[in-house]
Amino acid sequence: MTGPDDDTDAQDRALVAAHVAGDPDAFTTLVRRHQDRLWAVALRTLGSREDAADALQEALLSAYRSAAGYRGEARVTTWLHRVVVNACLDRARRNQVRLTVPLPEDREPADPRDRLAERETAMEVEAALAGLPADQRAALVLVDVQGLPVDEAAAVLGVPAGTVKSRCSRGRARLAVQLGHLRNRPTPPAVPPAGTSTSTEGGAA
Amino acid sequence: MTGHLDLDALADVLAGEPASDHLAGCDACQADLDALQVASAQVTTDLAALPAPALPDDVAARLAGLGTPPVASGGTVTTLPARRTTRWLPAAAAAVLLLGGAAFGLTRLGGHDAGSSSTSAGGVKGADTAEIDVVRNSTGTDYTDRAALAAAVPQLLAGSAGAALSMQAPTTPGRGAAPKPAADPLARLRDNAGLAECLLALLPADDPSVRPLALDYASFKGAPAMVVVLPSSLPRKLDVFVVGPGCSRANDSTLFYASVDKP
Repeated sequence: MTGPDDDTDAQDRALVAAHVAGDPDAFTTLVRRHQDRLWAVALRTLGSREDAADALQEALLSAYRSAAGYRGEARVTTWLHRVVVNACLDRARRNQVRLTVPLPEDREPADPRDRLAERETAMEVEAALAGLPADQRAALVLVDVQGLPVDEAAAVLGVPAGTVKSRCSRGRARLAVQLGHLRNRPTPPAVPPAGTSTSTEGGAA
Repeated sequence: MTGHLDLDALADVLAGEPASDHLAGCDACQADLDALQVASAQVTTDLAALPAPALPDDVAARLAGLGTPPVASGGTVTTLPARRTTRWLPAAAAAVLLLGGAAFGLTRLGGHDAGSSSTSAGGVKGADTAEIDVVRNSTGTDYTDRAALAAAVPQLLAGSAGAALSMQAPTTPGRGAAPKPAADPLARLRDNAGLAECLLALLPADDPSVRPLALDYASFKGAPAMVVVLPSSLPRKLDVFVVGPGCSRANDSTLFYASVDKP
């Protein structure tokens, strides 16, 4: 029995095959199906609108060029997320990106008070997320924000599932302190410069 | 006391790592672990509740250009904003503009290879008899990313990039100053007819007043390339296109695009 995700992946695979076969519209269609999620991943992984836009463009161009090498072992969305996340992490490491909260103009206009409070909370969460080490941030974006299963996030990031769990858990712990959910508790280790890996994370298995 | 588990160690336990012997016998650490578990769940809730950011129109436009088919020769591929794929000048209109000397601020060319070619691809005649009014640089700089392009733009606009940039950025070996025409992979784009063909692919079809601001004959990630600086639809921005030697309406060879701040 197949579910909606299987149907989606089957359609995605058909689009990749059509693109490789020379269909000029197939890749555009594929991008349109997933560009909103990929944009969210890029923006929250890099924190900077300009860098996210450049990374997303570079990543999808790379996917466009390398589609013939897609073997089909992973879902198409996993492949696309992997290309985008790698481009974002490469950019973060290369440029030592100064992380910023996404620009206010990216948001919907605020109106009622309750929505304003929600937005303020979201801005606090996004600011705290942007302050995490890049590897932890990427794992949390995939798992907690985008809702990917840990195994799929591991496939995207090219690391064992245990490493994803460790990065997520450590990232949540830092955010818990930053957001005031964990007061008077152990002080988190100093955050290394943006774009660098955490050195002693667990979960190698 | 230094023996207690720190935040990362506690987080690793929550991630499924084996608990240390210390944890089993330390009420304080166990309490910390319990508190962290609750707080982490709250963080997960916070993250899941983040609103999805809307894809900005300009980014969507950049992605829309990805679907153009690969170029048959050389393997270069499109990576362009929608302006290039959806806002073309119709060929006939472009020819009219070129013949009339209205596009790109054409002026008469004095002694520039006027007889080298009378017809270019797409039926645009006579373009090589006119000069395109744009600041030309020939730095040979090997650009690699948006930051390098953004940093170069002020000097490209001023036409002073040649000396300055050659000191700031590495130059591709053998592609520095004044290559011999026979070996110059960008020779076609130095010629006005080829340049006009390329610019037709870059300029918006619905606004003939838009003109290129500056060029740089250079390279991108080691490959021969021309940088084209154009006005942007955004008031404080400029559009920077990096195109390969085959750039024309019929051959989309754009290697990179960046929106940069206007100096």
